[in-house]
Amino acid sequence: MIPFIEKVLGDYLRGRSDVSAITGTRVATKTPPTLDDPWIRITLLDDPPVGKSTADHLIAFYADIECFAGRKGSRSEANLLARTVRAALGEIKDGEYTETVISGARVEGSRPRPDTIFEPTMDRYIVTATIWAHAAVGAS
Amino acid sequence: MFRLNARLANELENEVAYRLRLAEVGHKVADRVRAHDVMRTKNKDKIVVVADGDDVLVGNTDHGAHLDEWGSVNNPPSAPLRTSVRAAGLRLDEHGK
Repeated sequence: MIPFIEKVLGDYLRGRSDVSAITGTRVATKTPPTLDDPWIRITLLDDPPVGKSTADHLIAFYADIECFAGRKGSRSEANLLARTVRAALGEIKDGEYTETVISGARVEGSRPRPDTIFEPTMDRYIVTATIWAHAAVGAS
Repeated sequence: MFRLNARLANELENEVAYRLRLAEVGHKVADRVRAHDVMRTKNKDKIVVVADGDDVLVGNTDHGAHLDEWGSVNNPPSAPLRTSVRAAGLRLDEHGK
């Protein structure tokens, strides 16, 4: 089966000391229960197979990685979190994974998108990335 | 002898047939956006296709469009515009012009 990329990516980012120094363990696919401190939300937007092969093996996972500043945070902190995530994505294929092989990753874009639901607006950067991955040999 | 036409891309872009085809592709992208799951209850007339000079623009003028595309604390992004462009077989350049 194809990798559960949201878990793989979440585990990877939480395991990075540069990311956890900012977010702690607040890297998930949903909004955390408290909103004062920075957090990351990962959303898978698309997962097409690569090329024209009919094999559902190598996948180009396309995801948004939202870097929220938190109520107490500022734009510069959201920006730092986004740049830290970008740097982490640059090294993701060198990580160790038990059931997944990551061939590479590319940051498609990174832009400020403050969350206007909040009053005052909460700073947020969204990093969009493509991650190429497939199941490791022998993985279920 | 073959001589490369360095201006080929520009010349093609000025062809009427090219512009018509580009507009067709824009409408196909718009159709995909309208069919996007998150937007089923939304006003489909909010999805617009505009020919603007050399460009064809596809946009969502709904007041909540930014929430669908980019999400917020209450909802993750569903990215109807971005995913529809990709699903149409186009290459999405997120850096823009």
